[in-house]
Amino acid sequence: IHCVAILNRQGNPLYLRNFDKQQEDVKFHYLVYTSCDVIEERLEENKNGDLFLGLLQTIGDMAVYGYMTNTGKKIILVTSVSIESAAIRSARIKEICQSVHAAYIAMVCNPFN
Amino acid sequence: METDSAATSGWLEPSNNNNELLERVYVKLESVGFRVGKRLAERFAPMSRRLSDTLDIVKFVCKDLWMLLFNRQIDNLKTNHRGVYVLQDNKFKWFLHMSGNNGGAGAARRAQPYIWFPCGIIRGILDGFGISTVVVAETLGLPQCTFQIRVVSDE
Repeated sequence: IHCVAILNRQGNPLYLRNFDKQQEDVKFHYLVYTSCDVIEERLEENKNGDLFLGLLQTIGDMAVYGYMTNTGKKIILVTSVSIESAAIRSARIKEICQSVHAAYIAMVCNPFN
Repeated sequence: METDSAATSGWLEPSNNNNELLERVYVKLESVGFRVGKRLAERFAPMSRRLSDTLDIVKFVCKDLWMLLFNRQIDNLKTNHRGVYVLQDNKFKWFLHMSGNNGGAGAARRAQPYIWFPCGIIRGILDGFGISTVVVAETLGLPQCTFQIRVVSDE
């Protein structure tokens, strides 16, 4: 995983973490914002579906996955393209998104922040 | 009855000072409810499906959330399909144990602050789902209470 980002309904970034020491943060900011548009498209064609939106786009050697909660929070994961089959990878990424979602809920509900 | 009115009249006699005080209590309770509602929306929004329709979201509030908060569901939901929803609870939990002249007008007035907090909660939940609303509550007689949700569009 190269990057995890959480954005709110209006697209303002709430959290962005870069795990890749060779890339600059700016590059991931840019990637995350372009993925926002793809998320909008996916939502149009996929109403009443799952929270996980799947693979949004691949740029170079990186794949971008999206997940949107009911409250409008978007979780975006940027990973390197791997050799696993698409289905298995999707399921694993989906699990990661759900853990991020749970951690986000825990943080928001915490009255000490 | 004499002592009853003497004890309460100092608090609710219509005078500027008391109205201002009630106003501040209202704002405070409603905004605390709003913040609680926003977090409730994050915490309890369904993880398995997506809610896109406003009516679905209001129904979610009526069934799931009311069950979580008060262990029962809203008794009656009415809508004019143009952004106004009326939720009616005939046995509002917080009113069940309140005494007061068998639900007369005086008791209803004194119970007002208890109804402001749930108003804030409902408004907070709907805001969490991206719907701006104004929520007003009234009670016609304890233990019944009615919440009116009016969707505010951003134009």
